[in-house]
Amino acid sequence: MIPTLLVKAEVVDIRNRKSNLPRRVVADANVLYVINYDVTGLAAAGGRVPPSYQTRHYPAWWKLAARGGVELCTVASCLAEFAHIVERTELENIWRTDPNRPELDPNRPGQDFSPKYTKTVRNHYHGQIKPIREGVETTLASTRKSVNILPRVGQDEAALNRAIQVWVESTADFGDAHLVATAKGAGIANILSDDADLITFEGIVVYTANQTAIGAAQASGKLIL
Amino acid sequence: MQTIRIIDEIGPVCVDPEDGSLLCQQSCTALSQGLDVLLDFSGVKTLTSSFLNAALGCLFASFSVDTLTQKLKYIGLDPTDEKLVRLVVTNAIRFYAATPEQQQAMAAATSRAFEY
Repeated sequence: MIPTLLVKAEVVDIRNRKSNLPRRVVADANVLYVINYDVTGLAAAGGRVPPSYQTRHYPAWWKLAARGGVELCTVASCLAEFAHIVERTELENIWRTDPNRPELDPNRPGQDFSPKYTKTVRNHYHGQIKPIREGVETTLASTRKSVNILPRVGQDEAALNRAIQVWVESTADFGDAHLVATAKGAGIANILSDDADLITFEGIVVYTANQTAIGAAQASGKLIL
Repeated sequence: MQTIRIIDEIGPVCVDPEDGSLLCQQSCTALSQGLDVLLDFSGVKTLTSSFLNAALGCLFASFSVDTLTQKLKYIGLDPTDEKLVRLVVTNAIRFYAATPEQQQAMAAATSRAFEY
């Protein structure tokens, strides 16, 4: 639970269909993932993964926003994170379904997959990297059709400086600070994200379906329609 | 042959899995009657995996790859969306060819992506 004292952003509960739509919004990597990564057949198999509240509310809100003329944006670093997560998930899929999968740590047999083993798995399945990355490229190309990417050329250094300033003042990680700083640098204060840490940033409005973020905002009087 | 115009059934923004499920049901009904199905995406502005997964992926649970290759066709896609459809179909084939244990493993990996 995020302490009330740390809640600085205003929060919009996107599960509420009556909430106002912003004119422009910047989407975080986690939302791009829910909307643009192919969770292959899982809905049909009875499993709605990622968590059902994510697969239900973010695409539905995205549809409303697109139909309502909201300018949907993202940050280049979010696209990079998105690409990395998709590749990592694909590698994990291959490793998990390989009957002859290698030990991830020869000194500690039986280790489960975690991001620290991504490079090990990538090297082991090097022959499959190209098709995986071609899939990621397709996913990115499709994603880029529906979002504008910030920052625009020539603003990177300024965005980085702003990110450092914002990060020092917050308790969130640097990637979040970069997202917020880039969005604000482009004159956009609205962020669409499932990451509760974003509500610790001053001067933004977080559009989310994350109950932790919504609960903390409600407790600190920061929940708006 | 039954032609389904996505723009008429869903609209220009194809993002929501619930909309995808509706399309899946329509395709499923026609295919079950032995009809060929032509999905016409002309006029669709936004097409995402979350939609396509629910719209197309589910068909591979009920019909063989051979049946779908012969009876399910697509038109009105730009090159990017065409690649995306191919990717979703390839993944669906891979998913439904896997054992139940492997399917569970894939589901677990996908759901944990942002939990690390």
